[in-house]
Amino acid sequence: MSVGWLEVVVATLLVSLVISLVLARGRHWLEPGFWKVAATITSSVMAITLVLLTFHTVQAISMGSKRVPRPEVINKEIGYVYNADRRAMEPVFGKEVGLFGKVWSQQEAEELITKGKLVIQSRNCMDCHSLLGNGAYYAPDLTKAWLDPKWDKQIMPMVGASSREEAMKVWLMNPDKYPTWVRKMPNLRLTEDEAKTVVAYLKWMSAIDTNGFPANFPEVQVSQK
Amino acid sequence: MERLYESQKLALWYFWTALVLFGAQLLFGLLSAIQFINPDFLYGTLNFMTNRMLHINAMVVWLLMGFIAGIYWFLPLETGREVVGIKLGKLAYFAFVGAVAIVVLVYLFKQFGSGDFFTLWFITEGREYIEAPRWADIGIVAVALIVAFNVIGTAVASKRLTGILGVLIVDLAFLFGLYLAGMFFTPNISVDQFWWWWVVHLWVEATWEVLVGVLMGWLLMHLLGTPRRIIEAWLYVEVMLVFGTGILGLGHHYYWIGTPEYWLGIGGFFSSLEPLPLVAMVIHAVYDAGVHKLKTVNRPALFWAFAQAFGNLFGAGVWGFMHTLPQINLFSHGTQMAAAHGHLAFFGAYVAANLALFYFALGKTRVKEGYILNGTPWKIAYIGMIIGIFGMVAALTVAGFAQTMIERATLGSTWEAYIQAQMHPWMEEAFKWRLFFGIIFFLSYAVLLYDLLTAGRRVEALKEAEVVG
Amino acid sequence: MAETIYKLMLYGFFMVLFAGAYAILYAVGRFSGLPLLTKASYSFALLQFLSGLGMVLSSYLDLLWKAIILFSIFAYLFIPPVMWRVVVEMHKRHEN
Repeated sequence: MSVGWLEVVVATLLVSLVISLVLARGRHWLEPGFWKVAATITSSVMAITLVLLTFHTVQAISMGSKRVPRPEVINKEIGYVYNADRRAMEPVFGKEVGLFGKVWSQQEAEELITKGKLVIQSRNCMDCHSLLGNGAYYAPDLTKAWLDPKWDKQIMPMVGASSREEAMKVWLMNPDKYPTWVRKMPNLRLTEDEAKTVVAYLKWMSAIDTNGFPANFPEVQVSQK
Repeated sequence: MERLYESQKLALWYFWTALVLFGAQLLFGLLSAIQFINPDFLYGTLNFMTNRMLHINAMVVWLLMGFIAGIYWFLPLETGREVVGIKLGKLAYFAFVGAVAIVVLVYLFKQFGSGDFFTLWFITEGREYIEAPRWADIGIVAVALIVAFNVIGTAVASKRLTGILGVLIVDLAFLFGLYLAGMFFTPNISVDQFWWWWVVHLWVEATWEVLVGVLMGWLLMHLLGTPRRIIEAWLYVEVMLVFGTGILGLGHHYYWIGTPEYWLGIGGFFSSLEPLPLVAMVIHAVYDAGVHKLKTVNRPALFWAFAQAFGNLFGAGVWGFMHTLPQINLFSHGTQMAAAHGHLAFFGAYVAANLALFYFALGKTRVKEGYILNGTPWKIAYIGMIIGIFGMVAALTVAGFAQTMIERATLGSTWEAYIQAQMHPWMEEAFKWRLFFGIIFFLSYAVLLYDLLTAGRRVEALKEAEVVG
Repeated sequence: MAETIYKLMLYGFFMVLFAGAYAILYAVGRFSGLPLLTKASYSFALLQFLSGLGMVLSSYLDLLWKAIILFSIFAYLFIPPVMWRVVVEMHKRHEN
């Protein structure tokens, strides 16, 4: 089922107006009773519409949907390119490359992502960073952090790691030792396992179709399958 | 001075507690503002994330406490009787305060935990605005249920279900019901943020707005003697406009979190209409000001009520609209622009409302019949706070423009782009100005505190009151 | 790109700012019986319209959005007077 936004807008406004006027007929428009009807009907129409849309949206963003991939996507190469038809950037997927030197099974990947989310919440990442643009603005947005050029250019040589995921892991465990700017991330005492799950989570998050946010991000191509 | 209902005494406890937490909000806000300028300040001891968490959590809790106070103050006046479960209400107050104290201590001294459910249950849930650990969530729901029980029970016992009470009951049911949407864990961040916004947006831009509408309605009825039928008719108009635009206006938070594209249109359209109820409010405020020529027995309450109408229009309306269209928001989302909007909107819509209610209650408890509540300190606090907030917001707006242009639209939203933008003078200088105006705001708070503690008790204030009275 | 976004944001800001100023001044003018103020408020109505027009004329927005903005800045010209009437009539009816 595809939902057109304009239809939703016009329908909700029209239905609210018509039902309100029908139910409030006979009442003077300056009386509280008239507006009571209008308030009740309008609020109900909007709330019901929200609930209906919620059913559709929750389906559309469940793991394994077109917009939010399964956790196993962490095994693949992930890119971010401009799609001229949509006039927006979107994630693209390439060949299987694994993560931390192995290919994760469906169950392993799920456990990894779940643990990663728990670590992210327990360390309160959102009160400095933003994720999908929401959070605090003291540190960079992490929506496409996995794809950030800084890991390869600066952090890998800095920590002496041979792969991006290793560099991210080491950096996340010792951010105070490897400052990139005057604002240093504090050491949040991540264990090695915890750091790995966060890296996996960031990689998985970069695969979500966010309607082109962030825009203008440097394109990351993937090799052909 | 009127004899107080027990419920109104409970309201005063809530007001004072709210005021203390307001101070805590400002204190941690200042610490965070200093860290923007000197990141080494308290680094490793009290990190930005902790200060910021306390800053916004103290705000949410004190505003809620102020609302609860407002409800307990007016409920017996509306129903003409004591609140039914007043003992339960007082018990809930102590439970609430105790829980807040424990949460704050854990935030301060534990700060974060390891990545497991224990942390989510007992330290922090790590989700902006609703970071409180799960056990405290359950406590908040319990307190909320008691408040709701008292409102419904008292209305039923008095056999007087007025229109205002009807709106209040429905709104409270939604307000507290929505909180449940924020009490579960999911590994899927898109689903997480989808429901998280049900709590955050549908509170701040829908149910809180209506709750404040109810409380301001009661305030104007008792302060200016506005007839009930006007208050009720107008309240319904506001409910229609706020819910009519705000419920689907939720869509403006669903642009970029993975949710389908139709939210771009729905959110953009309805949130563009969100300023309408605020314009309506301001026009009515001007009318009331004109009729009463600003003469009342409680000047500060009236002036803060006006500040509410105007502040809401500027903070939520002007600063909200400028970055609400998806085509613009794609670049400004998650920049200091949101911080500018947030600061002014919360102040205008909710801080001002709570202060109006607080002054009104104080006027009733401290000022004798025939006298008026007035004086100099409240004016200093009033003007100081307005200058302080607008100064902070202006600085953050400049920073927000710079960040949107440099980090997002030009350099492409990377880690390095973020740093480059933050080092631009428009941002670096702005953070200094923000701190400067933050200090002005804090000093004004100190004056406000002095005034609230002494209003009606100071000799000079009484003298002036006698002259006018 | 940066410049387009900058202008759109600024136009949006001014549009609602002037819209607010229009509403406030109009109401104050009507109440205090100062037709001059009411007339002055119309200049803010015009500024509101022009700011919105700035958004409409930007090539960045789609036709549909331009149409919506154009409609709303036109409709808004009438909103403060209508709201004022509602408030006045409501008070008249219930205060006597």
